[in-house]
Amino acid sequence: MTPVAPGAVTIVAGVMVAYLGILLAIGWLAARRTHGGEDFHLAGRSLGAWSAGISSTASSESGWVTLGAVGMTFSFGVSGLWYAPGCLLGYLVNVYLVAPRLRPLSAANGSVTLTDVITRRWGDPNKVLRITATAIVLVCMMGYVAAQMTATGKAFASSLGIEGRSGYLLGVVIGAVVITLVTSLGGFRAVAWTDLFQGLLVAGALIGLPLYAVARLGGFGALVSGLGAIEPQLLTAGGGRIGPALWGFVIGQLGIGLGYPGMPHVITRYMAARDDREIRRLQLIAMFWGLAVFYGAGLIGLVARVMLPDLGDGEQALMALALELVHPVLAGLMLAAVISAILSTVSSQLLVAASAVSYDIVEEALGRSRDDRRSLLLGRLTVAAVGLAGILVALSEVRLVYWFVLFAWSGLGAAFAPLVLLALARRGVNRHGAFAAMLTGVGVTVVWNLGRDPAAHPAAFARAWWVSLLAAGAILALGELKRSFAPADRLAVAAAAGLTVASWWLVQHWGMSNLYELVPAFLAAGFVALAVSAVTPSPSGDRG
Amino acid sequence: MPEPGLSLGAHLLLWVFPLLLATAVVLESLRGGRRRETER
Repeated sequence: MTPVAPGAVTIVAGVMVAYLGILLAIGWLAARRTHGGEDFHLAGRSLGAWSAGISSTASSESGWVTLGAVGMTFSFGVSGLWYAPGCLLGYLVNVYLVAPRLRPLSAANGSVTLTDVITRRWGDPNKVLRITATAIVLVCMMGYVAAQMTATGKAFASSLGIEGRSGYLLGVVIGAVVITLVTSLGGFRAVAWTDLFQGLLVAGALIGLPLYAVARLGGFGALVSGLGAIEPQLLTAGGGRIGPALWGFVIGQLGIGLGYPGMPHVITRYMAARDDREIRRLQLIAMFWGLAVFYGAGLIGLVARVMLPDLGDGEQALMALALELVHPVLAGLMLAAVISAILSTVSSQLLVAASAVSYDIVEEALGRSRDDRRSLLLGRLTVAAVGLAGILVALSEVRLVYWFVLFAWSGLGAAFAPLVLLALARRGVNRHGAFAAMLTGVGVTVVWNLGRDPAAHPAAFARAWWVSLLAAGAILALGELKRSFAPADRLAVAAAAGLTVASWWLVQHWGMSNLYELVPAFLAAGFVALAVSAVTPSPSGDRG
Repeated sequence: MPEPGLSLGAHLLLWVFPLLLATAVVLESLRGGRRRETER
């Protein structure tokens, strides 16, 4: 992040302290209203439209929207904006298709987590679906939590003007400890309320700053002229790409939206909404938040390209513009908005990771602690433990954990989004198909991601096909050892391994190898869910 | 030489798409509201 000028450090630090104080106060208020397990994991299904709507959107975007999205248009001009329709189409599917069906379904069958939705929808006598889904959620979320805590440390350090390793360590400790404390005390309610506060801060920054900057530049005409003078390709939707490179880029950017229905920290917000009326109000709120934030971020990147042509790193454009254009108090609020975008995601992912351990594994898979007060205590302790683990990883910077982050968004999206959509469609899939879909989604994601840029991970990509087969063998051996697998489950594992290896071959020989991995992984997972279900007996006599 | 302007695709991406989407979302919200009024 761009360093703050020495004179403004005190003011910015004051704004930061106030911001952290507000988060702690919200956590304390939420803790006073949290009395049991369902309260902790799902706020007692009592969220209103604003907290459910903004929380669902703010928690899904992370620091990517204030850093990465801004950097896209800074580097690529208007063609860098393709992520916006991609994400907004994902929002459309989530709020108009998923939310109105998921809320009543989860209330009727008592689902508390995404894993619950899947296992209760198709039945899971041997806990195959629960263990698989929980493992995927946990691995992806732990990687995410650690990476976001690292980003928190860096953001705090530079916002307070503290350089070097000591600044980073202090930043991690301040940011991560505060958010872990808030989440641990107030659970889902604290996360939703802090998300609402932080989501509004992010939206305010991403609406106000670009409009002010465009006005300072001399209007939209001056912006277009400025971009055209730098490079005419900045004013085109293709950005100079042609043929398969163009289509791979556009389809991949639009495909980002495919992941939204599979994000556990997003769809649990819909499950926690008070009633159907709140869901209908939430639709408008979520869509307008998305429109404002995605286009605001894009506009900041475009303006910064003209106003700050010497800026080395486009991802720093928001901060650099704020420090250049506005009063230190407002710049402090902009910095708080950047950190808000990160922390709103950290808290949501921390809670999902903790729920995967305390609810999905300890309470449901092992059948322990059905008592409501013990469930609350278990939830709080697990959040604290997962938060501490994330802090330790961020402090020691264990590289392996960050590797998981490469696959986290598309892995979760491909493993769960087709299943959530199929679960709500009410036909065509049984539990063996669901099992195959989760394995395929993860397998194709990893292989395709490595294959998009084999030069970046040559050894990993070369080994990917036989590691996939080895992993399938290990899953089969585990299933046999625990006597959990029906013959149809073995077929599901074989189908997933086959599709993963096929995608390894395809990504090397297909013209659109730059295609974002979520698109092929989503399609493969949806296809295998339907195909395996069609050829295997439906356990309950009901294929949907 | 004429000054370069936004291409057609850039116009669609930059402001036509968000404007259409915002209009559709508002209209859907109004339609839903009216439908619920009639149901009552």
